[in-house]
Amino acid sequence: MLNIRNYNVIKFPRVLQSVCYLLGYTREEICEDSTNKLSFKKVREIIGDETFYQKMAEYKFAGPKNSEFREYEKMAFLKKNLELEDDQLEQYSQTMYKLFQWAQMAIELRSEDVTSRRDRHEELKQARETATAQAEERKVKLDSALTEAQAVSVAVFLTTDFISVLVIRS
Amino acid sequence: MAKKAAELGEDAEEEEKDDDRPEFPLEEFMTEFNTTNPEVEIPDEVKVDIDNDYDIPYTAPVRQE
Repeated sequence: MLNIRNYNVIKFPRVLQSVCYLLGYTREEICEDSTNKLSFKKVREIIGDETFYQKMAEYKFAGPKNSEFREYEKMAFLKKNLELEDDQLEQYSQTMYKLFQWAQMAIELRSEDVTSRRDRHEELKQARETATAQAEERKVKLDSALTEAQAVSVAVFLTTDFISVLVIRS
Repeated sequence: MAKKAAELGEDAEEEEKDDDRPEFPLEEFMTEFNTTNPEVEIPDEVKVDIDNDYDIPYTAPVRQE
């Protein structure tokens, strides 16, 4: 990373931009004032600081994220921002290419994590819906069976009663 | 009055008849019903995770019947 700091001009600025956004740096911290253009001057300072590497090591791709995210920090933007010619990038700088791979991997792992949790949620939701429908079906069946059994019970009683009256009278 | 008394007499007789009816064996019925139709356990409602950073469209997998 240190050799990147010595560059005067940097190609593929979107790689550094995406990595910084993934790590929680704001647009104001890494871009030219009031623009979306990466300020290499600002980023040079950032990558020279230990915090940047600490943030990379601590980046969490798994689990819910409840805090607020700006549009440029969200996965759709970052994924699009990393759509570039990776062959050219690899030829340009191995360090930049590694950063690109790290960002891509972070997005991929995050996507897998969110998708698998949502799949699981769907599965549990459907299981609950099925069980609720089965319970409702059982309730209807119980009501009907109970009414029928009670009616049969009364009919048996009345028939027996009627027969016993007939027997007594005869 | 006589009519009313007669009616009351009939009602009393009817009530007496009702009292003779054996009590419906609800417990027995329920045991039998539960054997053939076990109670359905409904799983708890599932909490939706919040992923504020994730705005890529999600499509649920197709349900296998």
